[in-house]
Amino acid sequence: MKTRLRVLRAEREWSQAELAMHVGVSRACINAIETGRYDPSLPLAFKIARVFGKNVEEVFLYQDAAYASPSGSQT
Amino acid sequence: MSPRREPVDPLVVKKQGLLRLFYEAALGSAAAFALAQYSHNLQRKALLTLSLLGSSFVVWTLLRFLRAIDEFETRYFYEALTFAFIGMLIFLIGEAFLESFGFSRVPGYGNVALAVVLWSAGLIISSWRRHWRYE
Repeated sequence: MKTRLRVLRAEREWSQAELAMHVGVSRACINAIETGRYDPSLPLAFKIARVFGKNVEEVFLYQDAAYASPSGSQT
Repeated sequence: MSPRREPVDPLVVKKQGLLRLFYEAALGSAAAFALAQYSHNLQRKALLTLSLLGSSFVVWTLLRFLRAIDEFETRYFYEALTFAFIGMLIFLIGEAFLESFGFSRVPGYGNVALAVVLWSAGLIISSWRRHWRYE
């Protein structure tokens, strides 16, 4: 799963620790999500998106092409 | 211009405090239990009661710690528990094997202490792995 967390964080000039505080998780958790080494649970993904005032699909992007675009599976 | 200071996360402080309480209570409880073995009558009962209360407090801090950690840390917590569980299984099998050759069993409180030590070792190994992977 790809994420725009780093970009959104930079826009607000937040450090990982600050974002972690806003979301209520550890800094290591934010770091692991940002680097794509950990996929958050659905509730956590919604929580992160809500902190940025965005929808979950604006923050997290599913990478598998077969599932990413519904039109892609019709061919 | 002074460098930007990272904010102190109250959740991190809470987790560290709970872990410290856990180990202090575990050590206190073990010390009271050990002292009780060399005491008599009322003093022994009082020390055993203190040890039991300390053990209950240990369990309470562990449960509070479990509630304070996030889903990412939970993964590492369960890794440490798995490590401790497998370690205890190996130890108990070895103990049963040696017992059949006439060796005496380790007392119950020794098993509890070993479980805490193995869990702590598991936590240290998990946090090292996390540090090298993610930080």
